[in-house]
Amino acid sequence: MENTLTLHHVSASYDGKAVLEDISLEIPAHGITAIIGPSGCGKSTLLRCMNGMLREEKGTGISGEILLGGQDIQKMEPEQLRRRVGLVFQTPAPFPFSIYRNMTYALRYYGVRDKKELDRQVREKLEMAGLYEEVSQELDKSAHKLSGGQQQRLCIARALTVEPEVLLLDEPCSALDVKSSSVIERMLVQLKERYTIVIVTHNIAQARRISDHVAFLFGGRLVEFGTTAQIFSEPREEQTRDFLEGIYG
Amino acid sequence: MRRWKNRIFSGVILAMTILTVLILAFVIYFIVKEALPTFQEVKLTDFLFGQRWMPIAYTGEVSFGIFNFIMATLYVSFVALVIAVFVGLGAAVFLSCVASERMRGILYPFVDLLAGIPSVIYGFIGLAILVKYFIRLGIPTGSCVLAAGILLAVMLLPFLVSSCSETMLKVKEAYLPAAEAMGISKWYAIATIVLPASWKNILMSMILAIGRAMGETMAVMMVMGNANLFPRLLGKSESIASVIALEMGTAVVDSTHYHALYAAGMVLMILLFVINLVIMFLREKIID
Ligand SMILES: Nc1ncnc2c1ncn2[C@@H]1O[C@H](COP(=O)(O)OP(=O)(O)OP(=O)(O)O)[C@@H](O)[C@H]1O
Ligand SMILES: [Mg+2]
Repeated sequence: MENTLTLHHVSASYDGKAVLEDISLEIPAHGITAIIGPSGCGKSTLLRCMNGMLREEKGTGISGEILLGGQDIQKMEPEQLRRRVGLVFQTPAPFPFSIYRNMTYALRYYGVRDKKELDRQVREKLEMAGLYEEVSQELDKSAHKLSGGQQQRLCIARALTVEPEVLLLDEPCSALDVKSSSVIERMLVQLKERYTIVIVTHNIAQARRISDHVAFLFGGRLVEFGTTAQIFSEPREEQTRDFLEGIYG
Repeated sequence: MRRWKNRIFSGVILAMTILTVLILAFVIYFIVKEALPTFQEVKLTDFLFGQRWMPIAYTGEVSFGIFNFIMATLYVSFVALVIAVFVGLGAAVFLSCVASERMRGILYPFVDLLAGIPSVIYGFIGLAILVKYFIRLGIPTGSCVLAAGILLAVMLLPFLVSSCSETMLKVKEAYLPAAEAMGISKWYAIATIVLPASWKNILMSMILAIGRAMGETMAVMMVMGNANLFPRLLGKSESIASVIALEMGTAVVDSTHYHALYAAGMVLMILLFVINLVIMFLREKIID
């Protein structure tokens, strides 16, 4: 299988305190990889390594190698890297503009000016996020007036406007109810045909429902990586089994 | 027992609120009462639009026209606000978006310290430094509206900077990561997201700052030259607050001069009130 993102012995630290230790991982293309693990084990940090955001923060140290399609991300321009690896945050943060401007913001920045093209992109990406039908009549409405679930889907659609190859999601459903979560889950399953998706989730059932591969992180180490079926039916490691049985909460 | 405590507490709060309102009402009443006799001697239009201020008849007739003072007050406040907003926004952007957490921790107290310096000291610094520079630049005595504007701007800065940078910091923390995650450059995001999202607050701070600017007396008086002239950027002039402060001590109680000074104070108050109303109105208009 083709690999988009490959991590070789990645370690990361905040102010000298190690947070990730020696993580080697191959993220398969066109699939959903779920990262699970107890709170504080470094899941968000791992995501921010993958799109180069950690590198720019002060007081952080990173070692090891991350390859995107065979290319070392250290050597790429940050802007270029972020266009190829999108990141959606835990709390939805639509910009304080209209829905339409939220969707066109990055496109305009990258030089798309043609109104028809913008409209087409907005529609296509909103449809992908399953939001188009709900908001097509009110694209001029402030994005802040959407519900939490709609805002999160808008943020996902917005991240898709720059056409990333990989989409990283950091607990996108943690603030949402069951219904909004299931809408997003269905959307992600559809999106994986076009994008490679990495999702951090606290919801084990969710990981089981939507992911193809699961990585279990514990105390900054990658304990186990495997297909979803394997991890859930026959975990190799003791710690994985304990975690799935709810011992660490 | 609990209920009693609650009652006493809300009673005290109510009394204090009433006291505050009463004091304000009294101040307004007192000023209006002392100001009104002016207009038995001087016509309102002459008072507002006359350019001759000759409260005591040394040579020729007395005359009470405060047009130049009004214009000087507005002019110097405007100059100060323009300078302060430009510099203040720059500083606020720097503090909120460029400076690191540590640097902010070091710089904020300095900004606050700036706010604690008495205006007499500012005036003194203005005299010792600003005015000297203006003399070197060829302004006869160095005192001018621009000097007062600059000085006043420095006095407005701490408030503008701290209130703007606080909002900007919040806005930045909320939106910048999302923008950066799409590969958008920081400065583009600051210009297109952070500034537009904080402008309501910036406007609000400006309203408060203008009140401060128009009422500021000491520092302005010390560097503006205090001559009854129509204000020019590099010329001397005199603000309403300066006239009152300079002449109140020597005005004979109950003379027209005395009442006219109160009337000038009343005009200053009304001016501020009107400006606040207009800005508030504009704000609501623009926001909705
Ligand atoms: N900006 C930071 N500065 C210093 N330490 C940090 C910072 N961000 C995270 N850490 C530390 O790094 C460790 C991992 O944090 P991270 O946010 O990656 O955990 P997580 O697995 O995402 O947790 P959660 O599930 O609660 O979101 C934690 O111990 C945390 O204290
Ligand atoms: Mg996290």
